[in-house]
Order: sequence, then structure tokens, then C-alpha cells
Amino acid sequence: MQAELTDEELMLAYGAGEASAFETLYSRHRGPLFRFMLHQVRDHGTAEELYQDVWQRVITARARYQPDARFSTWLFQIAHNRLTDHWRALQHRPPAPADAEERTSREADPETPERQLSAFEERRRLQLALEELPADQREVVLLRLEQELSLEQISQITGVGRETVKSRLRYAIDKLRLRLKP
Amino acid sequence: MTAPIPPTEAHDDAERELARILRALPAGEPSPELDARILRSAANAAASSRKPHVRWFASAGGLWGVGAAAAAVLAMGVSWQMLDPSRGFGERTSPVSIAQEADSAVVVELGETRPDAAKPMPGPPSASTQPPARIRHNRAPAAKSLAAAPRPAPATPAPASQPLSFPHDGLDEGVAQQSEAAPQSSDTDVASVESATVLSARQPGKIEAQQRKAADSNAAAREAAGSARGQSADLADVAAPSTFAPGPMKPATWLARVRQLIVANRTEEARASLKLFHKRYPNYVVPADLAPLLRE
Repeated sequence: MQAELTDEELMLAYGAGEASAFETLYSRHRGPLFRFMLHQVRDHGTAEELYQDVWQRVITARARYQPDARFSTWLFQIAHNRLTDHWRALQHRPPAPADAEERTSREADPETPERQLSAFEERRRLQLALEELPADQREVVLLRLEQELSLEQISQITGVGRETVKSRLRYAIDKLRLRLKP
Repeated sequence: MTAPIPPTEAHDDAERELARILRALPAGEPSPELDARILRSAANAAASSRKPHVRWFASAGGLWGVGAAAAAVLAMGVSWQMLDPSRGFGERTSPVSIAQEADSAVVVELGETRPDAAKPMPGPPSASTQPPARIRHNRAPAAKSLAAAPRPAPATPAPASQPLSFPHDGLDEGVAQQSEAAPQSSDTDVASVESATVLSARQPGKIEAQQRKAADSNAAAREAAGSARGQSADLADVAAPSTFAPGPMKPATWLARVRQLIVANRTEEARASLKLFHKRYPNYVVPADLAPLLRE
């Protein structure tokens, strides 16, 4: 019966003390939220730490929750804030993986006509391209591509204007497509 | 496992292609331990948030209970006050109710005094201002406290015929209690002592203070009573309007006196007193049994 409830109704039910509502809510957003965190920080342990923090903030704020926006928007807004804290703590943008340059150099020349990009190569390129993106662009493109959120929702989550979101998204999409171009 | 969030803006072609590749990336998932930890934390939080909820209901119920008890106590207090004209509350109620209370009081009181009208009248006005029905009702416990309470030894023998000490009528209840402390005939004094006991049961501190004051002013009270006795020894004196004039005598007490005069066949004095009463309290509804006397 709870599966028929919306996220917002479940969150309200949980705020009223119904623990099973949280279980349903958690199962719905567990994967997308974790992948979002993992793609952002690129480290499983750090992703788990931040992921747990996000859910803990949801739990703490259960009584104050107001369904003014979609629950997913609220959830990813918390995630965004947590990531911002994380970047601020690191004092710089997330570094690329140590072997990023090496992996990039080992990439096959996309200009080579013989080169047939396998699905694996495709995914690997995308992964590298995501890692090279600035954090704000990566966040926007992940929210858009993976979570399928609207520009308006991303604007609410990130706290920047819709046009800024649109601009960041466009830059990010162009870079990713350039990387994937054979 | 996850329910798809309904998109509000569809992907364009470029986004759709990138999203397809992105979803094909190795899907990282939180460890089962982490899932369990988060769910346990959520369950604990829900349990703790349920407790204040229950506490709120409990406290609300408790408040309702306290409120109901307070209302019941208030209702009992008000009804008790309304049944006790000697508390002065009757003056705040309708005159009709005052008259009814006075009527019932006089009937009982006269029932006691009528057979031996020649006997000394039960002296202290406070005794007659107390509703006799209540006095009788409290007779048993009053007798107990009467036995326990030290009674002042009569300094002077009780007069053979003690008039109503109307000069005391103008006194307030506290002064009336002083006259109760004055030595009286043991038989006629029972009611007054009982009424004092009833009062002391309600206001023990106040009554004790009053009794102490009464002991101090005992001589003065006796002197006043003696003066009254010296001036007049029968009802004719007490029926004189001048004796009603001083002091704010309570209407119920006044009307009781008028009835006593009627019983004593002092009709003219009763009429004069009643007219004076009517002049003093023009808005007071004269009881039906006394109204003809006013019209004659």
C-alpha cells in the first residue's frame, strides 16, 4: 500500500513516526542518490560517508519537512549541500584520479578510422569525461542525465538561477559529446 | 529496486544518448551494512519521535483531567457558597433566593425557640445568621469538636432573659465570632459554637485568629451585651427602628428579626422594622409572607 504513496506522503508519514514509510522511501532513492554521490567524489568510501550523512540529515529534518517541492528535489538539495561542504573541506575542486592522465593517454585516437568503440570504451570515455568536468558542471549534468530532473529542480537544488543551470548543462554536454566522438 | 522519478522535462537526443551510456556505467551501491545502519537509525528516530507524540497525548489527557477536576471543584465551591448565606455570597445572588434562605432559616430557628419563648433567646446573632439546617447537619462533628475544644468558663451567669443582641447585627462576621466566644448559656450556645465549628472547619486559621481576638475583646463584648440588656430586656427594644439603623445588617437577618417580632405578637414593631428595612433596601424583594405587613 505504501508503494502507492508518493515520496512526499511517505516522508510525512515518516515524520509522524512511521518507520516503514522511511524504508519504502529509502528503497526508492537509495540507488540514484548513491550513484550521484559516487560519480561526484569518485571514491566509494567517501561516497558512502557522504551518502550516510545525507540520509542522516533527512532523518533529522523529518519533523520539519514540508512538501513544498518534490521529495527528490529536497533530497538532492541536501546532497548538494553536503557535497559543497565536502569540497569546501578539501579547499579545492575534486582532484582527478591519479592515473587519469595515463588513462587518457592510453585512449585510442578517436580520429583513427579503424577504431571501433566498444561499449566498454564508450563507458570508460564517459567516465573520464565526467571526471574532467568542473564540479558544478558535473553536478548539473548528473542531476539532469541520471536523475532526469528539470532545470527548475536543479536550479532549486544547486541554488543558482535557471539560466546558469542551463549554461552549465550545455557546456558539460558539449564536453561529454566531444569526448565520446569517434 | 528504485522507483523512477517521473521526469518533468524530457531529455533531448544528445542528453538521451549520454544518459544511456551513463546508466551503463558500473552501478555503485551502498553496502548492506550501510543500508542497515541507516535504516536502524531511521527506525530509532521514528521511535523517539513517537514518544513525544504519546507524551503529548498523555499530557493533553492529563490537562483535560486536571481541567475537569478543577471545574468540578469550582462547581462544588460555587454551589457550597450559594447554599451558605452566612458567607455573604447570598448578597450576590438574587433577592428571591436570599428570601428563601432566610425563610427556611427562620422556620427552623423559630421551631427551636417557639416552645419556650420566655426562655432566654439564643443570644449571638451569628448563631441566627448561620443557617440552622446546616448547623443541624453538622451537629455530630460539631459535637466532637465541641468536646475537644476548650470552652471558656462563664465569667458571668447567663441572664434569665437574654434579649437579641441586635447591636451586634451590624457587625461583620468576624465580630459576630467574637460574640460567640463570649460566655453564654451552654444550652442556647450550642448552635453558635457549632456554627463556629463549621466555620473553623472551613477556615481554621481565620477562626482561630478571630477566637483569639474574641478572647481579647471578650470583656468589651460582654459590656456591650450588658449595655443592651440594661437598655431593654424584651423584644420591644430590639424592635425599635433605631436598633436597626446602625450597622449594615444583612437583609436575611433583618427579615428574620421581623419574623421573630411577628411571632412575639409585636406586629407594629415588626411593621416599623420592615418599613425601615424596605427603606434601606428598596430593591430587595420583600418575602411573600411579610409583604402584607408592609402594605397594611
